[in-house]
Amino acid sequence: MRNYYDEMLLKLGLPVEDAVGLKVTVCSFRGVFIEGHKGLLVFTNNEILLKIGKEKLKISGADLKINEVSSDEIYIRGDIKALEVVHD
Amino acid sequence: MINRCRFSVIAEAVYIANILNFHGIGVKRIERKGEETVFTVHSADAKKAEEVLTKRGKEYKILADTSVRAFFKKNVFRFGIYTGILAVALLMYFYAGTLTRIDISGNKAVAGENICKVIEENLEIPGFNRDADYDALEKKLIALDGISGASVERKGNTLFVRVYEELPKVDVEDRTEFKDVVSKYDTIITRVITFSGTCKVKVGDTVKKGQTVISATVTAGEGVEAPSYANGIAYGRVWVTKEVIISQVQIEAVRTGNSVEHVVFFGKKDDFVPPFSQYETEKRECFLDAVIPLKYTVFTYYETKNAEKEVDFYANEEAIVKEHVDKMLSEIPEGSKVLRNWYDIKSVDKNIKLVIYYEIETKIT
Repeated sequence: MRNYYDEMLLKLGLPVEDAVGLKVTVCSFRGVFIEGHKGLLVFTNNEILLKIGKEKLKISGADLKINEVSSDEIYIRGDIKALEVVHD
Repeated sequence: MINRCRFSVIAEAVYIANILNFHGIGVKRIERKGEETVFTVHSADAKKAEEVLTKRGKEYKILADTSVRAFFKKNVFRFGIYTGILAVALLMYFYAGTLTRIDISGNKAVAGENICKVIEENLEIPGFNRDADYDALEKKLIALDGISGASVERKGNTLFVRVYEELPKVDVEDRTEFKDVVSKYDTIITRVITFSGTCKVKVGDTVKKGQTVISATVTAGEGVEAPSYANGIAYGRVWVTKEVIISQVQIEAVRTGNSVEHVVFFGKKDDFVPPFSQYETEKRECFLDAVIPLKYTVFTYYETKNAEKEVDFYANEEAIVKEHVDKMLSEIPEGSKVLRNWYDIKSVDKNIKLVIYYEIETKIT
């Protein structure tokens, strides 16, 4: 059974199997709330790397801290400088 | 924060976050302190987190546990805390069941004191009245003269009483019956006001009780009388007399010196009977504390016995006469005007005969 996100991808003509189902909410660049990650790869004061499907999401900044993390949601706070999708 | 458990583990933060998330455990406030990773989980997940870490062979320490279970486990011998909690719970129980105030509304003609008297006969205020019967109280309030409905409701420590008064009674005049207006007393007429009918007396006339003052007829011509409705008011001078026999020997109850005290809490009435055949009671109401008005009542029963006492009437003549004169004054018809009063004293055997006279002007019809 396809969910709403898959339906949207089909209408946009994007392959469903590559879809990551990721939602990123940035709060004044002092915090970022990410839904749909697949795991934490790197956690340092200046960089946090998350697995999202076949790619990785890199959050760069200063004094980064993880406020809350669960199996698919993470809330990061600190001085966010950049968000970047890293392809393998 | 409450219900949180803070761990410290010697492992990578990324590893800890992933392994706990894999097992469905949410992790908060992850911090890296050198080789240690410090994080917080919900207290409900703490045991599961410990199992996961133990299974993975990770050394961990619990830095803080703010769950309710941990609080009581830590303070199991802190009897003072439990005593305090119990004392507060008891205080709240008693204070919630206490009534301290009455709020009466809706009464204009009926005096508030009468309503308060009925309430105080059924409830102790202030007092502990957790299971009071408000329906019965409403019925007793409705039984009061002038009240047609009542509602009693308790909110917090206040008893809200709302009464609904009866509509004032209207005097209905029956004008279909032709009846003379007659005098209620033996009197001398001072004033007559005739609204309808024919007046048969004038000022200064002596009238006996039952005699016609205004007749229910009108004169239509010479010797022709027609029936009519008699209505009017007449005033006259009336003499009222009262005789009182006052004994010079009175029996009064004298205290013997024996007494017994009995204390009642929260106004609970009990079956206590003092061990005396004859006694008088003194009631004293006290409060345990000024903050929480827990009332207790002390009843003191004094044993008494009858003793004869000689009363010198002439030494207290003025006070005794005034007492009887005032009592008689309260019994004369309302609206009367007192013209004069006097009294006469006679000795009869060992008693005193006091005769009081009042001359009043009053409505005689």
